[in-house]
This record gives sequence, C-alpha cells and structure tokens, in this order.
Amino acid sequence: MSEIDEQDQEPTFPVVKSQPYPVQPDDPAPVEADDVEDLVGKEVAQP
Amino acid sequence: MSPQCETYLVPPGFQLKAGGPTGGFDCTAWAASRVIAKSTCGSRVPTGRRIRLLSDEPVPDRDSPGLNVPQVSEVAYDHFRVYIEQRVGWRALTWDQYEAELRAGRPAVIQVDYGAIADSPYDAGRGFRGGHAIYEDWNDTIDSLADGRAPGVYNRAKAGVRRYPRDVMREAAGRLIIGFSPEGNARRAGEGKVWAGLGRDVMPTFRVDIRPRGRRPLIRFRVFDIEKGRIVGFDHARVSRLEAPSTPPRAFVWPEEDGEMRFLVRIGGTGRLAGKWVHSHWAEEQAA
Repeated sequence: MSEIDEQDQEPTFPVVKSQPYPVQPDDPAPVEADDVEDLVGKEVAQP
Repeated sequence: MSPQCETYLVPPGFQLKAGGPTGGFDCTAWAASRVIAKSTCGSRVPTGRRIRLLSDEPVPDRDSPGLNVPQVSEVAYDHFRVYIEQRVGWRALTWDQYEAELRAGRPAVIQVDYGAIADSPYDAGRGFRGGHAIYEDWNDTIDSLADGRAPGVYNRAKAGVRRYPRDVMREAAGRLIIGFSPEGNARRAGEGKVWAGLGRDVMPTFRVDIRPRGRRPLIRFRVFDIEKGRIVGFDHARVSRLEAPSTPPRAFVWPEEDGEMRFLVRIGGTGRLAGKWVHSHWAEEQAA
C-alpha cells in the first residue's frame, strides 16, 4: 500500500457567459450614465 | 442569516439605455450591480457599465462578449466588499433552494435562457432568446432589458415592483444553455436547476481539513498557481493533517488545461501552506 493517499478529485464545469443582445436599428442610442453614487458625490461637493 | 435591507427597493437599471458602448453585452454586470445596491441598502449603486469596466474583461471578448457569475462576483467583492456566492457548475442550486435563499432575504443574479421570458408577457428582448442574466429578490424581478423602448417591450419602470411568475423563471433557469455536445446539441442546466450568484450580508467562514484516509500517514493534493485570476499550473503538497481557515469557494478558469472552471479555496492562517489555493472540496462552511 502506498504511503501517500491521493483523493483530490473535483468536477470541472464550463464557463457560461451571457449572450449579446442584438441591438435593433430603432433601439435607443446608448449613453453612459453616471453611477448614482457618483452623482451623490458631485452633489455633496457642490456648495 | 440576517435579512438584507429588507425594506430597501432596488432601483431598476437598463443596460441598453444607460450602459454605454457595452450595454448590449452587460446583463450580468447590470444584475450584479443591483445585487450590490440591495446588499448595501442603496449606499452603493454602481451601473452595470462600471461593473464591466472593473471586471477582468473591460473590453468584451470578441467571440464571447458577455460576463459570467464568477467574473461579477470578483468585482463585487474586490471593489464593493459585497460577497456574491458563486452557485454555478456543480454548486448550482435546486429551484427550491433558490427560492428559499430569496425568501431569506438574499438578492440574486439568476442566469436564464431568455426564450421562456420571450414567450411570456414580460418579453423585452425584441426577438432575443439567448443566455441572459436577471436580478431577483423576494419581492422583485429586474430585467435590465425591460425599458419599454419600443412597442411590445415590457416596461419595468411603468409596471413597478413585481416578481415574474415562478413557473416562467423556473423554466428559464432550467433551459440555460451550459454547453454543446460534440454533435452540436445544446446541453442545458436542467429542469429544476438554477445557476446563480447570491448576495450575502456577511462573508461566510470556511475551513479546510485535509487528512489521509485510513492508516496512510500522508496525503498528497494539488496546490494551484493563480495568475491574473486564472489557473496557470499546479504542484503537489503532502501533509499528515492540515486544518486552517480558508476563503469561500471561488471559480477559476484553467485556459491551458481544458478551458473549464474549477472551484478553489485559498488557505489562510500562518502555516507553510497559507496563501495557497486548493480544491474547494477540502473546505466546509462553518456555522455562524
């Protein structure tokens, strides 16, 4: 009997990413909103 | 487990209207951003775009531009100290477990096949039927596509807070495509299964306990090398017994081996193996 015990197996699994939404011609043009917390920060910074 | 921010209603966020140039790819990021909002009772409300930019894939991969649950979970913890438990792969939930977790106050990123939702009154996909991610808690469902941008597109802001019918969500979760057979047939999560990320208000405590079986004096096990969030190799370690605190399980991809993911935990404490990564099956969550 080996003096070393090997019992180190664990299942693998696939990478499952979301799939892209196919943008339609009349979908709104994308804008990049500020984070709410960024907006809050700006308000605090303004006298 | 204490309920999280029970009375705080998460504001909806819409990936196409506010998501910038990657909006069409960022449903998982937007769902995770709502989990962060819920978990912090609204003190942190990042956009999904910000989650994307903070991820290990700020520029979407050309062939697979979406994100997965482990990716957004890493962002939530590293940048917002919100723990999103990775219940994917062999750690995926049953539907009953998922519902029980929501009932206990935990917010979720649930991975779905959009077909079941597209066939319901809640369709916001304009023909989209692919893999998608949605925010849910016990009171609410927020689909980041549901912005009412065109006739027939479900308008979440107009409809207000409501959970989607559970049979619709259950079917959508079970139909999630997780791969393809060599013949090209879709492999799905399976009826009654849920791949999800679950927000949690406290970081759970795990411990590893590595010991040989029977009368063998030593056990040999893999110690993995991680670089830039990926497995790059491994070595073997031998111990007669190792007990130590550890991180919760985290999923890592091993690009050079098989491209699959594995759950690992990082050993804590002060021993010679402190800081090393090992398979997650050595670790168990400790009762709070």
